[in-house]
Amino acid sequence: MKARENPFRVERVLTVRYRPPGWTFEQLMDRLERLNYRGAIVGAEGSGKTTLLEDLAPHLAKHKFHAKFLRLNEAHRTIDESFFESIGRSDVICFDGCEQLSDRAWRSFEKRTRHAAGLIVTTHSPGRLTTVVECSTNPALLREIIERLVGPDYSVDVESLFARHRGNIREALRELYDQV
Amino acid sequence: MSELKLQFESATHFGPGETLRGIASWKLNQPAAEIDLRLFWYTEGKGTQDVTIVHSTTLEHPQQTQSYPFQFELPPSPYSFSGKLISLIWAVELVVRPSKESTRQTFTMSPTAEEIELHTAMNK
Repeated sequence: MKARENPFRVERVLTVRYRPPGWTFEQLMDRLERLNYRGAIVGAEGSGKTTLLEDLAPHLAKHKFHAKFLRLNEAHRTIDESFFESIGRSDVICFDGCEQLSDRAWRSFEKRTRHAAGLIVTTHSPGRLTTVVECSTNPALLREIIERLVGPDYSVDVESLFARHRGNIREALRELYDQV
Repeated sequence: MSELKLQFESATHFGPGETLRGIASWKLNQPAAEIDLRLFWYTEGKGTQDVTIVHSTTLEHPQQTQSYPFQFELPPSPYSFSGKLISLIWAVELVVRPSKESTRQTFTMSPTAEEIELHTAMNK
């Protein structure tokens, strides 16, 4: 199958957005407001942290804030000076991958971004900011996402796929990409 | 919702260096600050997406209902191709600001005017 026809191609997977389990974005925004828009989205890899962080942008815009994204990963662990210089007072920094910073670098980052309107981070483990959402996955969620991508008739052992990737939905969908 | 349309004058298959002509037309629900018309290519597949804008034209304060003829000289490369892991796709896109409404029309560009299939090419 050609890559552009693969139902599990990245661009198509990215159209599946975060669905809050048992809470609403309005409730999350209320919680963030009480925390001066400083909080952490915590969860394992492939649990939807980045998707949720991205999906916060329009809700922040409704509150007259601008979501300013910063992404670090294992291949890119440094922050350019220009990032700090460009922070505005209506910016809520949406920092994906804050666990890439050492404790010392994190303290420095927090200090240098205090003039921003807020700081929301994603991280694998709690501790750096108050946890506002814990992202988690389960086989039912994986099944639901697969059905949204390929319909209900697609045959796959979701339980073992989920277990094989230890709940990492992104990696599970990558495996399915290779199978079609 | 606004109506946006992109129509190529001839086929949707082109060779490198050829001229792609078409008409962009729109009927907007509300006045726009500007409309961008872009020639670009992007990838789709298993990995991270690449996008490169080759030409871009901006129309400031467009009329709410308008037809706009356009033409782009296509570059020599990259060719449209598809393999199991990645596809490269050429397109023209119309984006309205600030509403961010958009429409896109894809086409293929290669010396044969057909998409190159990587597994076929490797077997030859």
